[in-house]
Amino acid sequence: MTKTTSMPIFKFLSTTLLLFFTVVVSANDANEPKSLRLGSYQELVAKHDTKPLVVVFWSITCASCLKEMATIKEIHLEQPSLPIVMVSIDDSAEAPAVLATLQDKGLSDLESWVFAESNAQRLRYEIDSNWYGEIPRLYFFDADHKRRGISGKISKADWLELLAN
Amino acid sequence: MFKCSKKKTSLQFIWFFILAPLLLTACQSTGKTASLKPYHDHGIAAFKGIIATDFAPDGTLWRLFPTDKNIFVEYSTDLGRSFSRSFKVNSKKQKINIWAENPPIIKISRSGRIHVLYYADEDQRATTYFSYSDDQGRTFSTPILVSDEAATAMHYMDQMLVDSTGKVYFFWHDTRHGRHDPKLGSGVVSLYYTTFDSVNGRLENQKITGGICSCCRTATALAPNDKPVILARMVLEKGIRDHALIRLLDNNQWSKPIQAITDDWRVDACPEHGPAISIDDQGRSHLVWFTLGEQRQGIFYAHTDDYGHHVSHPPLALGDPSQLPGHPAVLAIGNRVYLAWQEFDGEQTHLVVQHSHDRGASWSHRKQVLSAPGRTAHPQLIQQNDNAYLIWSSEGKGLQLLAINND
Repeated sequence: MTKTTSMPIFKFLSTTLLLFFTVVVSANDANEPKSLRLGSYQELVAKHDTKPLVVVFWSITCASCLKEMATIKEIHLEQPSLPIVMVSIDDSAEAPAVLATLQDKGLSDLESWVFAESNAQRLRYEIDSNWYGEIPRLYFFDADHKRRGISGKISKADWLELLAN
Repeated sequence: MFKCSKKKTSLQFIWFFILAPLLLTACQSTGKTASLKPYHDHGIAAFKGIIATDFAPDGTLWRLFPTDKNIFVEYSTDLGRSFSRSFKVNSKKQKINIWAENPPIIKISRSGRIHVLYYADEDQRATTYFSYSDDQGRTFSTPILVSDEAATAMHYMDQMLVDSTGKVYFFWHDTRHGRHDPKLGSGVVSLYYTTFDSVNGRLENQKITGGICSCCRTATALAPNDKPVILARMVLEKGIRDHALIRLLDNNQWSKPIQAITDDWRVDACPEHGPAISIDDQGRSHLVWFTLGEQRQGIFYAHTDDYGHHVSHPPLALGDPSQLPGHPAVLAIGNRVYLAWQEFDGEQTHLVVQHSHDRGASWSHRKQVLSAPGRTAHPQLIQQNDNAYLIWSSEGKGLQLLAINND
């Protein structure tokens, strides 16, 4: 009888502690998305000058983007020194949901941005004047910062091939 | 100096008020832009610059005006030069959730009933509400959910059609069966529909098909037999996102999707770039769409006389490829076909129109007719009696209306 009552209490305490640590770790892990305005993209790319870089444009409502995140996580774990920058094309009012999604997908330690211009088309045009807005949209930069743009979810093998070239 | 410039400003204002109505009238008669009031009567901009419109049978122009919490309707008896006071649709504030590919809709039936459809976040992100008014907008029915699984499934990209008897059809993208298909890829949802034809009618949700690309609007139109035809971007074998036609048959069953367009766009992505359809009175379906397929890239026009089994070929390429042409609209009135689409020059969005007088066999030169800075809605082509109007709303210029019959 004593045993049966003490087990739920133990379970409750351990769950509470686990929750507490999860919250604390999540809070420390939180990498608030920065606001991407006109000119920000050039700055973020320049910051990673001379290094290979991947910039991923995505949205919290884009199923293909959310699926792609599993591959991004794998690549990130295998190549932690490769900078991967996540840019959400959602409205900046969605920044909390953007952060929550990145946390959920285990990507909240990546550099993160969210569109903060009401005219998203102008922002997209500044990034790539040939981009119609389809997502996910990935840009692979080599060490010389030669850029290659790809639309749509791609496989891990595609990632590795693009990173090798 | 200060006094002088103030006087000049006052004079400019006086001249503006004298000349503006004259200019609007002149513009109307020459088929040039009639730029309507950019802001709401109370000085509030439309949420995300998106305003929906429709003509009533008596020629009254109705507009649906969203804010981030409410939906209003207003009417104009002078082709948009002035609007009535606002009538509120939702008495309870909601978190309105609309975007250019997913705008609210207003449709007026032959009897004058005003139907309104809009999106709000509730238990689930984005679901649809429907309301109507039988007293010229003075009162609206309590908005009801269109989806019977609104608490758990997203519901968006709705289309609303009102047939000649006043029967209302709703079509939408629904995530109740998931958003992933193991064979086709991600962003694959179902197309649902329901109808409403009486005050107490229950909106019984029915599935038309799976395999719908989640984030591209689906287009609908009524055929001459008063039954709906659907043009949708589907996710086909090998994850190809091409367009298919589906129609309601005489036995009230839905046809199987007929792949009407073969662009070979193999991509696992959200294009957010849906098609448009208009059907002329002889039953020819006029189609416009966007693709980045292997076969072609950009926006295109084609027509079919048998709902997708045979389609005109090659498709007519529209737009300047260097200006990101997109979001085409189409309207057929008798033998005439009107097309409108957006182009972007890096600063401003422009609307370009083109028309045919022989059911799509030959075409006029393209003509750029409207421009706006800032965020814009997609262009709409709507009909009033025998006249075609291009209607467009934006954050920069509000609602713009253009008669395009003689362009």
